[in-house]
Amino acid sequence: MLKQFSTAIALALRTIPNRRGASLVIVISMACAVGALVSIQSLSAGFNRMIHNNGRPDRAMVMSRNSIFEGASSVPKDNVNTIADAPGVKHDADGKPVLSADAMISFAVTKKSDGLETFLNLRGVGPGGMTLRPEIHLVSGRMFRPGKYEVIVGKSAATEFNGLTEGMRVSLPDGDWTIVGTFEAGGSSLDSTLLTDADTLLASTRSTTYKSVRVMLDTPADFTRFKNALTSNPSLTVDVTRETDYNAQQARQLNILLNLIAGVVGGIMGLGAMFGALNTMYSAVSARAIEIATLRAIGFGGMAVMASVLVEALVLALAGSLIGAGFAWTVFNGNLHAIGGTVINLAVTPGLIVNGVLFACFLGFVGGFFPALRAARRPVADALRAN
Amino acid sequence: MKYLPLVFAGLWRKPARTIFTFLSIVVAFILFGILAGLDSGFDHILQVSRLDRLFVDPRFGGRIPMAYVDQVARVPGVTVVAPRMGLLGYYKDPKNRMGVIMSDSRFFAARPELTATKDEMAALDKNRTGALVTIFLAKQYGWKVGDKVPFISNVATSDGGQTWTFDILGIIDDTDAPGEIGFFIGNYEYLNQRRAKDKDLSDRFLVRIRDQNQATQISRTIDRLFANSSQPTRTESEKTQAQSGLASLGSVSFLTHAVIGAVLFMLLFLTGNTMMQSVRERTSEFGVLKTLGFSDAGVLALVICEAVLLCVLAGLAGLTLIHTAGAYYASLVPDIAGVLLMTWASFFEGLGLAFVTALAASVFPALRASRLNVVDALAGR
Repeated sequence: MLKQFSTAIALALRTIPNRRGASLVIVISMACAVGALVSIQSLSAGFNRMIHNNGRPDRAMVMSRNSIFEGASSVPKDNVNTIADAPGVKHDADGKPVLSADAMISFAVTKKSDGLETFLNLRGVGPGGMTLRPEIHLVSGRMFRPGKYEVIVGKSAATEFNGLTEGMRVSLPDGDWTIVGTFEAGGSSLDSTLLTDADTLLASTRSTTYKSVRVMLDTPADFTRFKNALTSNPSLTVDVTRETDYNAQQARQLNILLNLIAGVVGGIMGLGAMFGALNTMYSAVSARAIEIATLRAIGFGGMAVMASVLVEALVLALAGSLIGAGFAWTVFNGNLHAIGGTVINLAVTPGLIVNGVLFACFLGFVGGFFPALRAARRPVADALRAN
Repeated sequence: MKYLPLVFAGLWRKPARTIFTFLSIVVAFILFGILAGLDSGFDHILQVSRLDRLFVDPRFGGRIPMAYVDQVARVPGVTVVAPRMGLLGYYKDPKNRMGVIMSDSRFFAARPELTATKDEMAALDKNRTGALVTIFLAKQYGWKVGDKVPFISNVATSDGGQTWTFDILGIIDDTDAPGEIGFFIGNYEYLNQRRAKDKDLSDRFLVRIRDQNQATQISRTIDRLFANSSQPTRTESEKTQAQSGLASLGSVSFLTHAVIGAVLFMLLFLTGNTMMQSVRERTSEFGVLKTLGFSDAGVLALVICEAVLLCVLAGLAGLTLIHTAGAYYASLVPDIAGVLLMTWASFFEGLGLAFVTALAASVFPALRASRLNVVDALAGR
């Protein structure tokens, strides 16, 4: 029984070279469908990896009430001490609360790739900013000094945009600022920003309010205690969000869009590839009509014949999907793409490749199933008489 | 024309194969239609954005003082300066997120595509809590003239609250995209007098200029006025902003073009294979045709016609389907109208691509058929 299956399958696979043109159709259409799907998904995978790297569950964000995003928020200077005294805030070895009151401005830059303008953020962080964000490492140069017009640049910003390399001067509020160092921030979106000291930045814009205050909590579970303490304090008008929740919320719209594009493109191309597979397998079954009938005549079961056709379709689909995914991986993996001022590191993850391969196998299965059924059901005598 | 039945007969020789090929081409052109719709949506945004409308924005974020208005208005070539201040928030539920533009009748002088009447503008200027909304928003939330609309914002009122209540004075529309754009315009004075802090500030001036060819020059003049002030400005035409805004979606449009390329490549192989198989099977039939007096060129044309008929009919089906479906969905969800509506230009571009694909895919099979030797072909060799 098992022997029948393996013989029938081996026969089908060994005769593929005789049907080279038709078999190539499955391989190429699966490669196109899977290649397109995986390429598009690499954008959202890279984006989500960045969003994931952005946040920690033990960091909380304080913004003025009903501010939808950080840029629209303003937290007065005198609120910072109240927030620092709240329960749940972590303290460092010197007993100082681990928090950073951030200022932020945006400024125009041009992309190296096409010379078009986009906006980048310059974030001012408080004295505890680096303890709060251990993911930031200086890769060259030195740290900015408070009180001086100095900034450090994220490595993605330095590679993607003009005029942002170490030693250069950038036109920012109240004159030119010098880039004194380059940093890396663990694949988070900070990699496409510039950093400086918050109070220096506020003074340069003659502003008196921070955009947000971020604190490190003792444990992620302390969030509720911390949040309740702030929201019930009548001297504050703030919202408290877990950093991971804030990031997920900000990412939601782009994610919906990217998933929609991937779904529509992948779905439609998959449908096209499936019709192609049906076509190929029907023609394979009819080209092998006599061969199959002979097998049946010498005692091979219908199931063995069906399996041989299905396996052939699956093998071709698998080969196509690997070519497509491999193409997407070589061309797109690790590529930098800027959406606005955010540089996204395209990621063709193993998960995406597995999904693409499974998708192609599903299409190959459907494309092989009906032709297989026909092959198995065709009366032996008729088939032998054909031609 | 008289050969049309022959072309059809050739295609219909193996109905299943033709139908599957036909369906793959149909879905490919449905995808083409969607992506082309996306492209023309971007084009539409660029077309309606103007070169004679400038935006004066704070150079590094933040706000610009209202005191700048008079200085900008004195710049030669400037006809209208309309300061505005956005109020972000939501109506009833945080999910109904929107922005209210706090300005006055000058806003409509800067945006003549909005259909506010003189009476409506005068009413807005007189009524501190008045507001004009577009049909789009009125429909979405069921607002009528005379309704009171509570709006929750992050801007605190002087009495410590966060609720701003507006009276709907009129319902207007945007002639650039009728029924598709949500504008909610309130009275700047209401905001300025009732807000707790940050008074007399604006987040953007809309400026109209007499001659659009002077856009760059006037922008520079305006920015020079405030270059050394505490709040420098950054002035650009609406068109320039739209261009860089859309370019920021560049990777998305790059991907759509790559996908169109992949789809066409796939089609080429699919159709080419179908034609090749069909020609191989019909070797002896072509022999008969040649015996009957068909020339080599005639057979060549016959095969090419089959491919063209198949591709163009399937392309037409796919494009018509997405065109009708797009119009239907656009009437349900005006939000995405710009994205799904395919222009006639891309419709015909699609048909053209179907034609070219058919030619490319049928060249080799057609040559093979035309080069057949009558004796060999009749023998089926």
